[in-house]
Amino acid sequence: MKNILLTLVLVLTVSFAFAGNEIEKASVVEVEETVFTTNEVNRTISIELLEVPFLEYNNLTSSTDYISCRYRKCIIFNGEKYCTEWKPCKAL
Amino acid sequence: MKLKKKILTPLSILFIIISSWSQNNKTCGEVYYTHTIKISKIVANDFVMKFDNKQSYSEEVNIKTSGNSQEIEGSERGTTRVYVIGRKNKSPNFFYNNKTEFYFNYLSFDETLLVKEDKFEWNWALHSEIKKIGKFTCQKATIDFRGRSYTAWFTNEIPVPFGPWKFQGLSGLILEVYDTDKAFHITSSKIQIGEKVDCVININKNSFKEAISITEYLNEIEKNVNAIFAKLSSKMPKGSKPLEWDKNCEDCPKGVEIFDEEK
Repeated sequence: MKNILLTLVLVLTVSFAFAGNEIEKASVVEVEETVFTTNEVNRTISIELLEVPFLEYNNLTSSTDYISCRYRKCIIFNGEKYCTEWKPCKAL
Repeated sequence: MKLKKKILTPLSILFIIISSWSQNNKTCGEVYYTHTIKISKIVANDFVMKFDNKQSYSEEVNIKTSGNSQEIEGSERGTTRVYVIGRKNKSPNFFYNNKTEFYFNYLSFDETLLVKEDKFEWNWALHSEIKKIGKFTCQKATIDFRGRSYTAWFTNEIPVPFGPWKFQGLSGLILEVYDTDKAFHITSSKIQIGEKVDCVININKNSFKEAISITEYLNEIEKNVNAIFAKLSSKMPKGSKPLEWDKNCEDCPKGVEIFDEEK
């Protein structure tokens, strides 16, 4: 009986430990880059942030820290928002 | 000769009387409006509208130009980067109404579109509520237009059927209008009537021959959006798939005019 109880406690402890990691790994990172313009888009739109730096956020340092990442681009013009579909981030 | 004088003199007097009566009954004026859009971002534009009994012309003023700037916002699930691009095209938006036809000028990204508006039955519902806007007593009216329900406050003290933006068709000048979500709100200020105002409305009506229809206007906007995404795609790293506009974007708020939900 004692052994059974000890085993149960061990199994539960291990489950909670892994469960914590799974929740972290299940985090979804979304990056939305929006170009907002009042009435005109500048022909020389900066492209620097097209290199998606999602790894800078929340101290994520490797692709194994998350299981899902996606990004999209949006334009807001005269109050109306136009977006691309969400696409998976490229692993760096 | 005497007969000519007998006819001409009373005719001349009659003409003078009719002219001065017409002048006295001509309503004309000028009003400043601010159009505020609160949807994805807050956008505000100022317009000055000149009007008389027959027509109104509303032109954008105080056009702001600003340098490029960027904001970086953190969100719970990721990073949002926002670029604010200043306006370089200073061509003003305008709205012209002569009771039978309506034209407007719209800046769609780099392109200026001159559009002839569709006919619309402005069947306003009148309400008994009144309020003061400045020194004018205004009555409430409501209507559905292009997917939104609007409340307007108009004054019969200025008896012209005009208003800001595309609004019209009441017995008096519209001084304030907003939709139920307050996503689009127009307020007025600096209302001047009569002698203090230059009542001449100068507009090149010959250009209206080149106006496109609403259907063509919507097609042009779609073309411009696709062109912007194509431009962004060309800057992407090699091997990246081209960016395409997601027309079924569920969390993209609708603009001021919702054409696919016309009521």
